Amino acid sequence: MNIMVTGSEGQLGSEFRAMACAYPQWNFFFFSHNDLDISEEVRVDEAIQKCRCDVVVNCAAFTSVDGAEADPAKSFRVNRDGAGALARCAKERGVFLVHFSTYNVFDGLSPMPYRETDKASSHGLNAQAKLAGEDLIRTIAPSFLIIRAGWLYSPFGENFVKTMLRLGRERDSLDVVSDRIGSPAYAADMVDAVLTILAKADPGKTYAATYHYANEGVCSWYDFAIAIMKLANLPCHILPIESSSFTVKGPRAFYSVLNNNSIKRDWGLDIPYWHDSLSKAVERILMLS
Amino acid sequence: MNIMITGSEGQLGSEFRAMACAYPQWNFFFYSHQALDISEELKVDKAMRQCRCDVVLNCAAFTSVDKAESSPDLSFRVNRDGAGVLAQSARKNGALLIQFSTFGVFDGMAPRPYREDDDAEPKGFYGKAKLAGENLIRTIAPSYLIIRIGWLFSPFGENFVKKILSLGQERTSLGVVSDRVGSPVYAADLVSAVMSILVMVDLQRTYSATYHYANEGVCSWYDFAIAIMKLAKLPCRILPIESNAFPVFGPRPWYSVLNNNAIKRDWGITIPYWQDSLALAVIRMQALSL
Repeated sequence: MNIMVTGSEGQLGSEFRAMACAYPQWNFFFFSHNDLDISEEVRVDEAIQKCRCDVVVNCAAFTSVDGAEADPAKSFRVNRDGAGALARCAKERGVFLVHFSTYNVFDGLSPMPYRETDKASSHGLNAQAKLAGEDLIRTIAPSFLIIRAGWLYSPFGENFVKTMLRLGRERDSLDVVSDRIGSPAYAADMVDAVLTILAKADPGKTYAATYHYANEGVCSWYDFAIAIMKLANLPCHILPIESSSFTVKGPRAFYSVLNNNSIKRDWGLDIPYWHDSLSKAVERILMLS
Repeated sequence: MNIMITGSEGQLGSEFRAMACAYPQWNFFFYSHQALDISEELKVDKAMRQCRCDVVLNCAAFTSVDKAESSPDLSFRVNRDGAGVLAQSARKNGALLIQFSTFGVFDGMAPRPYREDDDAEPKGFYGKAKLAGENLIRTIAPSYLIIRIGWLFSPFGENFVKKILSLGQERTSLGVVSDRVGSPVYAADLVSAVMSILVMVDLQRTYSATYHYANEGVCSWYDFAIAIMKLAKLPCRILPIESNAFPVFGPRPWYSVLNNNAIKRDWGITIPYWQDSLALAVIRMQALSL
């Protein structure tokens, strides 16, 4: 099986690169955003043909919620048009497309974990671009999985865990928002789940499914920060603050917990508890630094 | 200062009894529910006069959400009528009334922490009775504090922490609801906050405030159970389940996180993180069960 991974320098792409060696039976082709802009359809098609690709895993995305408010065109080009280009190429070449999306497609006003069938209605531009990308894939791609992730972190790129570890070394105390909750998603767990799915997927079948993936359990950003400091043995004191005292440009959801039962049930997956995965990630991040 | 405490055998009452010795300057008068039924006006009035009460702390409550559905009368008698009786006696005797209420007065459909001024729209009889009690106090009592609390636990009475500790000793795995979130409240922290408030309170003044109290942080019941097992070093594996797989009689809210800023701001108190308090509670429970 030939697997093409776009956005290979991002958080998810880097985890795919780190885990590829565990699957020597498959050929992986990695394209960073410098190698391949997914919104350039001709070049995407050329790449898919060159690697005689069976599966495209799209890890390329514009992920900055604030950045999308400042420069919506850029977000739509990658998140909507890029997804559309991949979907059309996947259709042209009969390729299975695995695409990642976000909890942010929901408005975050639910009191209970979001299911895949809940209505997506985000206020932010980045999420609207992600949702438009999802819809293009649903309409065009012959066989696809869309996986919406919770609060993503990893040793790679920019994420909350890395920011907290850095600030925790620099400061004695730190204010962290306590009124917004969600489920962290460790990129390594998610990539492991996708590789397990690829091993189980039947190449003769077509798929058309949307899934939610997050580690088990919930926390607020405040709980998350406390857990990070404890695991890294940093003496930085975490203080709870309300999000209204912390101005950001893009909209932030109050409630971002995802119901992850469908992906577990359909593919027989076990998902680790967020705190257990965080403990592994922190150890790995501290080792890498 | 003379302090009368009703429901002294319950979770909160027991913590007040445990902490009273740290305040030797005050006289505490404890009444269990056998000693004093708070819905009996004459008896309440007599007790209040007898102890020349300056402050009444009402820890008496009918707290079973499920039983309130099967026998609403009992819940209304204690939670509404009892609160009303205390409010009237507090008025007659010029006492400050401190009442404990619950996150259950909200419908649990909010996506963000409940503030004191959010609309209370309880779904079940328990929440309705507690809210009716609150409203009687607001109307009748000359000076009161109403403190609504989150998921209460302590070494006393029946609560989630004690239940999970006992199941954790019996079983190798346990399914716990992962789709409902809230903020735990360690009774000892709450009682210590109330004592701090009583130290600062000016009895010449009148108070009419509603506060929310919960430990800092949030969790689902599933996260809560995992933390309990880890702290108690029990090998029981906790599995996440959806609440529709676990039918209960009374209504359960999805979201029960309380915004605790008002009480912190007005009285200058800091509230511990729920896991730190849980660690203290588990050690204490294990010591008590030896």
